[in-house]
Amino acid sequence: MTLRQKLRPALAYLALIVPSALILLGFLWLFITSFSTRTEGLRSLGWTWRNWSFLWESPFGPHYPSIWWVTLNTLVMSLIMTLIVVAVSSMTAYALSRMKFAGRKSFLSLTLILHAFPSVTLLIPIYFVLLWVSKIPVIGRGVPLLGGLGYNTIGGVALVMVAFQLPFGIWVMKGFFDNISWDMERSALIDGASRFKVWWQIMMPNIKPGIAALSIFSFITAWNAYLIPLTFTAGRAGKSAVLSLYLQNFISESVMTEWNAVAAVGLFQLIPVVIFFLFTQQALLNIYGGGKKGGV
Amino acid sequence: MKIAFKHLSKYFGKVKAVDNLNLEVGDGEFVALLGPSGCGKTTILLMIAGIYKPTKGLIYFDQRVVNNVLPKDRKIGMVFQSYALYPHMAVFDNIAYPLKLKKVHRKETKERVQRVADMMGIGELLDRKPAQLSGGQQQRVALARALIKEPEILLLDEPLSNLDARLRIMMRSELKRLQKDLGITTVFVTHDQLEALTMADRVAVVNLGCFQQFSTPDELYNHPKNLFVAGFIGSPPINFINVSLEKSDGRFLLKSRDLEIPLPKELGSKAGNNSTSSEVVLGIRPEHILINEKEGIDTEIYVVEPLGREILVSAKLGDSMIKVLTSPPFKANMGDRVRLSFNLDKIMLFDKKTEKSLLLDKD
Repeated sequence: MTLRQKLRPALAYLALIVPSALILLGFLWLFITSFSTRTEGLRSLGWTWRNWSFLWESPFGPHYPSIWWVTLNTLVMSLIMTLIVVAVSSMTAYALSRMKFAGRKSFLSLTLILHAFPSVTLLIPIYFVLLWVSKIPVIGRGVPLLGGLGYNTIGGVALVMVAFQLPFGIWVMKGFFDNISWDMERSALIDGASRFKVWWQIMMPNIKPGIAALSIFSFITAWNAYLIPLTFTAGRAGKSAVLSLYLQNFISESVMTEWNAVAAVGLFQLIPVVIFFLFTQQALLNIYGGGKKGGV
Repeated sequence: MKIAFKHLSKYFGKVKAVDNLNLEVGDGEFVALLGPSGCGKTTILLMIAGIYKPTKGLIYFDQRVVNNVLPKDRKIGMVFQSYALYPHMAVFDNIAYPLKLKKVHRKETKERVQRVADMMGIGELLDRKPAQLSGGQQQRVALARALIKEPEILLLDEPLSNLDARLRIMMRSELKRLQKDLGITTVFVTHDQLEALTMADRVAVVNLGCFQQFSTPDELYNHPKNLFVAGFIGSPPINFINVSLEKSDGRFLLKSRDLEIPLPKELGSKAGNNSTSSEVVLGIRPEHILINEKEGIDTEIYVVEPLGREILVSAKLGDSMIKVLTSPPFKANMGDRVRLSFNLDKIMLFDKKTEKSLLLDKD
């Protein structure tokens, strides 16, 4: 091997290692800090479990919800949002990709505009909408676990997140549907399938990578969401708090911020995302091998 | 089941993909739709299948108008050019899918799948996924899936075009045999004239959304109705020479700068009666020209191509090139001068303006 041939992969690795190392360094700090009383750079000035005590006792007093309740809230919200986003976008995208109907083009451009729309400007109108929804009996705020779909409920926050996520989801899914050959669909129709069965039995199994990608994306977006839960729930440590809000409780103006505790909660919030990603990345990367060898 | 079109048209916006077609396919007949790509033949097939709705006109299955019948209720089986197998299902499930949708009992499904798979010679492959099959095997799966419903009409969209040359020749005869054995009315789309001529009972030549001619392969080859059909059918292609049709001493002559051919009396008067002007295109197939040294039109050999069984000679006549098929041995070389004589029983004459044949009786 010539020097030149050796140099190329070496440079490629260098270009990958340097930025990865910088990111890893941040995580390393987070890890060390969460188990230290104090740190000086990456050096711990004394190890302790105390920062993780939020796992078994509420750091803000007994009348605040425990971390487990908050985690359950976050999980419920993320799962609900992911489920609705995937279900609605895949159905909408199928129709947009495959069917002819009046207003199809304008619907498509509208979703694109919505995707680009600055969501912050909508916070106040949505606040009033949610307040109004709260007044509806049962659905408003009487559902167990979810709270409901109104203001200061997990369901309400999930609903708003769904609305913001849908345009993106529809576009992603439409791209995947567009890539499936018409012949396969026509063949299924001739074989005797209804439109719904074509969607569910033929199309959906063939866009698994798309479903996986959108699920991961939605789940992580919801898990990390801050602005929308903050706006539409009352109180940072209330009954409907999610992890990102819980984390904010540690940072206040009146008391010295306990950075070590922040690091511990931050790490705690990170763990499920990492696990979720480990399980789903395979589906994301393994672009499903189609049965079209020799086909067009 | 019989299929008939009455004034069938399909427009996509302003584009007339199919324009005012009339056609009748008999029960158990094997019909090929032959035409260059983009001529509308697949559109016709998809209208029979019920995927496209005709813009105008009617489609009949036997006596019944099926314009508004859903694809699943038409009792058709279809094989697509891409085979359109479901990649996430094993071969068994692919073939069984139509039965599953009809809620056929599991045991019966199993038997029927095995039977049709054995018939297609893929009985051993039922556990595989489509991606693990070769092109030829995938095609058999697609065919098995189309046949398992016991359809009354079989539609084939370029079924052989994705196979390699040897497999194509094999499948050609197998498909023809299968169609005759099962007796299913079959419509088959292809751009390959050899496939159409060898397999079909009758061939519809399609161009620009219209039928150019619908007849038996033999008629198509020997009595084409117009210039397009004459030029499209036949390999190597027919020779066309622009000539003028002239009359002298009560006899018709074909004349150009380089040649002069007196026509037999009957042929001449037929052409004379049908023509709209003296400008005529003479068509002659390469195998209907004789090469000799003594009599005929004087030409120069441009190139000689041995094809094994025959020899293809290109000869220069004025500005045009005449292709001649002759049998070996053939001794002349490039640049030699030879004489060509045309078999006058086999020549074709077309009106240059209307492009219609001058030798067929007017209908």
